[in-house]
Amino acid sequence: MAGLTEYLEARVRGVPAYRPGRPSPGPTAGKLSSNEAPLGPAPEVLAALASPWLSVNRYPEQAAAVEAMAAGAGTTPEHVVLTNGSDELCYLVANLLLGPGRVAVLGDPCYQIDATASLLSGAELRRVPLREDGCHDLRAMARACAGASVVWLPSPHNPTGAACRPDEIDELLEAVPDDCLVVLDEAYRAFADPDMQPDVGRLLARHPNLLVQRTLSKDWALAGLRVGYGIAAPELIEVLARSRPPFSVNAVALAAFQAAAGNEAWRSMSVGRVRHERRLLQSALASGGVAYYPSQANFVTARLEASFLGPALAATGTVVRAGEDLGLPGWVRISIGWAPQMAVLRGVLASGQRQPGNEPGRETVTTTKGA
Amino acid sequence: MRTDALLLDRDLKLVLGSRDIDAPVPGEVLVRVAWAGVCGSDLHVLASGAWVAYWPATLGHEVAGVVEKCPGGEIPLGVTVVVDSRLPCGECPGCSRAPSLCHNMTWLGESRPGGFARFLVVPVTSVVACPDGTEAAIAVLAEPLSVAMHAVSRLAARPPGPALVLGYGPVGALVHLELVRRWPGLAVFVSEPNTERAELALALGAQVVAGPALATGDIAAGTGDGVPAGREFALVVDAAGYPQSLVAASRAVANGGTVLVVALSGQAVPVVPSELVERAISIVGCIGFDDELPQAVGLLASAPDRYRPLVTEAVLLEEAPRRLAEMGRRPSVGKVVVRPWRD
Ligand SMILES: Cc1ncc(COP(=O)(O)O)c(C=O)c1O
Ligand SMILES: [Zn+2]
Repeated sequence: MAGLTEYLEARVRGVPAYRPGRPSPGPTAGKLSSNEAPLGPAPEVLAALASPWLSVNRYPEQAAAVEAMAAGAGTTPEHVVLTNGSDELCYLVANLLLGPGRVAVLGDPCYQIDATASLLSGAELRRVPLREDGCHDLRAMARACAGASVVWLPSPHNPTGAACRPDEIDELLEAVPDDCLVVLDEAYRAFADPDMQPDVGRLLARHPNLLVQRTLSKDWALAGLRVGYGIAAPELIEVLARSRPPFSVNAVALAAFQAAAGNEAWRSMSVGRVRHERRLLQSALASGGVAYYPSQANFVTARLEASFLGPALAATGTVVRAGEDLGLPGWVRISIGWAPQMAVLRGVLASGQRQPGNEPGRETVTTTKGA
Repeated sequence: MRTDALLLDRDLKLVLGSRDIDAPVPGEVLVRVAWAGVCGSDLHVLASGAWVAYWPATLGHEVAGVVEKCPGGEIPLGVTVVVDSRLPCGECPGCSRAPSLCHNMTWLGESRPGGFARFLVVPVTSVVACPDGTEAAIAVLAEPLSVAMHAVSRLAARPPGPALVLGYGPVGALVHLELVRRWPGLAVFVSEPNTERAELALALGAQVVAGPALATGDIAAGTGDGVPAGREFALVVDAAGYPQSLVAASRAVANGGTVLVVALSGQAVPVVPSELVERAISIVGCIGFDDELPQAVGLLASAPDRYRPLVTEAVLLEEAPRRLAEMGRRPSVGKVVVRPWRD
């Protein structure tokens, strides 16, 4: 038995345990720690979940959902693979393309699941520090790709919220060798400015080594149901589909997705509110002299000590994510929530600034286009 | 005692300040305000000074907060409550039938200091306790929801055909939600020129009629405004209150249908009696609410997410004077709530 334990320990050595965002001590609206959707899904989703047509004794019917997802993404079903949350796609890719002796390139700090899936496979990680403004250093990443099998590229990135400019993504794809897969993770795409959303149709047509990763956890508000998908050339999709558990997305999640897809106004409204509150938070941070990464996502990461902010926020029933969890000690990641929750948060920031000795340090605010 | 408060003086400037309030005596409660909603009537007072009986005034009659002191012990401290904003005289013939029919009605904020303040003292009979765990920022919708419930209660029965709501501000939106809550499956069309308000209507399941038809009153004609030709609205709710909106509403309503007027507009409009007669149209008004407040609290507490999208903006005390002053020019999408105190 000792042999098994030792083997297993060796398998997960260096793989950090995932720490989920803490729940709020009060109403769930106070949870600003996991980049979730504050308004929840469209009312149709709740109706669908209660529908008598939902037969849980049958295996899930995926075809219609894949078709709808493909249409929504401007492509056709043979370009789409359905996954259990977009995180499943990370594991499928690592399984197929990584492993001992192979190399994965990723930003530093990175989205943790990308590192975890790579490490579990036994691959070597080549970490490329982010730029000062929280963006990926795509030129350095392109150089790091020599001999690598996968580049993990979330844009907008988590934990900084910074997005790559589409022309820089173009350049990266031109530079990366054909045998290295670029995984463009667009979990937060919907929250980015229109000119920061790459034309993935065009990119996919040119680069068979591109895999676009999407999730319904953020703008579609279905994080608890675990639905994601990948878009790529049919050859790659076919391999991914063959390697995945055939029913990894369950019938309830599929029904919810189809209902959600019928109410585009809800999604668009929700995204608009997040972008509005993000602007308000960023200008409050700026006027308080707090450094932050200008965000294109549904969160803002700011240079604030969790130990300074945490207790004051907890008193209002608000929880944010400590940067220590995300490879950014000395920072906190604040998910954008419902308007009243965000006003409470601005109040806490302002009162911290009014108290002498508590100034979070006058620093130059990072500014880039789209701030 | 003193309280942080927004103060409106005779010059109609809204400033951040503080004011004295009397400590509560037995039979009263001291409420620490969590959120106070901004109502169209507050904006009207800000612009005109109308209805105010004392200066400087502290407006705000949509209030949710926490009981801080209760000398008579009627309500445990720490309980979240909503405040009943009505101050009926209790003595007139109207009052003898229903509070909403008082001839001398005044409202919190207009005849005594209201909710745009950290603290508020009101009779203990003027608060409704919320169930444990109710979010104050949701409960603050109880007063306008009561108004919407009361308005819908003026209808005798489920409208036999589709409804049209003119105007999708907070009241229009609440009336829409109340119509479909009471009569599931009722088709509700909305006419609203503001694109974000129209998006909210769509998101909440209404069908949106393009704005321009409103101005011309041609809603029923089916000419490119998104409403099928020949569409007959058994109910038209005037929640818009722009000049002539009642005329547009009366044109859009089907023979035998009802026009429910909830928006305040001071503009006279022509009434052609023979149209009312020949088309058998009912025009129904409504004001405030009677006993709906506790039920509204119950609805909000049991289905907060249903109402959450209606609160679209929240401002801190120090942010409030600027935002309220410009709301006439830059209307909100949904309800604006104020957190009227500083940490
Ligand atoms: C960059 C990034 N990708 C993917 C995901 C996860 O998505 P899913 O819930 O679909 O697994 C997240 C969630 O936080 C994320 O930040
Ligand atoms: Zn009276």
